[in-house]
Amino acid sequence: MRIDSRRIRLIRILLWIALASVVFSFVGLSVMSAFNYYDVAYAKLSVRANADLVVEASGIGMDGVVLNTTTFWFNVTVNVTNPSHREMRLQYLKYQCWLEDYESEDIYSGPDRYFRSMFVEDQGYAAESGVVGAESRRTFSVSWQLNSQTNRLDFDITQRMLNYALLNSTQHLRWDQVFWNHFFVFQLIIPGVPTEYFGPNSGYLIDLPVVRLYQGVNLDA
Amino acid sequence: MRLRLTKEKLRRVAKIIVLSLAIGAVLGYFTFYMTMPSVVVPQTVNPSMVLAGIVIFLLGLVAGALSEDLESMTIEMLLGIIIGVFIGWLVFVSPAANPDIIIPDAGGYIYNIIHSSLPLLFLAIVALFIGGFIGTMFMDSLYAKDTTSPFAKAVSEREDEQHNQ
Repeated sequence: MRIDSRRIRLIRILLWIALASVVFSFVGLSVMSAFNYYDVAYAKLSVRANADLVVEASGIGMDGVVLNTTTFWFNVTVNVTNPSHREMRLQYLKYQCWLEDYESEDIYSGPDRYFRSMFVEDQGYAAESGVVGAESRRTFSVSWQLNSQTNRLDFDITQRMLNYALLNSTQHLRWDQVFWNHFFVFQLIIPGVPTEYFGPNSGYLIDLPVVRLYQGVNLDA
Repeated sequence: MRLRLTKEKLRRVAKIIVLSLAIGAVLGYFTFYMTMPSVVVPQTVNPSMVLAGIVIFLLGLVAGALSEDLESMTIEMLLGIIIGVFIGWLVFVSPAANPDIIIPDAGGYIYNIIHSSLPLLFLAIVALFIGGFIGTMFMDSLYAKDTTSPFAKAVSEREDEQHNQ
């Protein structure tokens, strides 16, 4: 097939147009990605949350010893302030606790005495009602109780802590001699933005809001 | 004569720069796409290497067809990859445009970009080179068929002479 330079010029012009279209499309996508990324990063950095825990106990023995009839009441209140343009959702609330029995042990006394436990709050709670709208505030309340009859899987590990206390009650473990540590993690997510927990960039701005609270409660206080 | 040569050189350099920037702009998007797929537009969970490879190959094809020769194409490809990594990094640290957002050691994140998109960069070298080679050869074949070009005329005359003999 014979071709003249006019056709070649036409082909070249078409190729330049194709190249320009591709480049402008990808520059546009890059700019949109940068704006989207900025929005998410700002949302992550601007969100504020604080939490408060109240633990009450009833049925404790006269000498401060945990009995079979003892019930602990937990109430966690989380206040989230979201000044960003993105809606957020509470993905989970993690509660971790451990006891420090100063009277009968020290930190070197081994795992049978230095006790650590954890449970994760039911995620269904967060999925149904855990939305924090854009530029708004929201308060979450989570309550639960713990006694010798409590037999929920989520609370099973916490139950172990009660069992520990009951076991030690025969040795006259008093709650005023125990320090009960509480640790919370509130994991917020931005709906539609997958959370990257691992990989080379975990720890960078895109990691989604995690708010941690450490609270020590001496029940006797 | 000297002026014409300089103009030609300038034109050649300008073309290399424009095509390098074009390759870099597309590669910049893809390096960010591989690094932060969750916030890229359009959003994805698993970045597709096949999609990136096809787009980069087609880009190489077009860039190769528009290049002066294979040597220029190689320079454009290498410059384009460097520009692409730089653009990816620029998008990566772009939230720092807000004074409230402080990114400590922003320069160090060039490592994250390279680390996340290393397979893509290797793929880009291969796809751009193959695409560029095919594109350049395609245009060369068109020029060879050009009836109005001196080169084609010379080839045609030589063929006629051989035929007459």
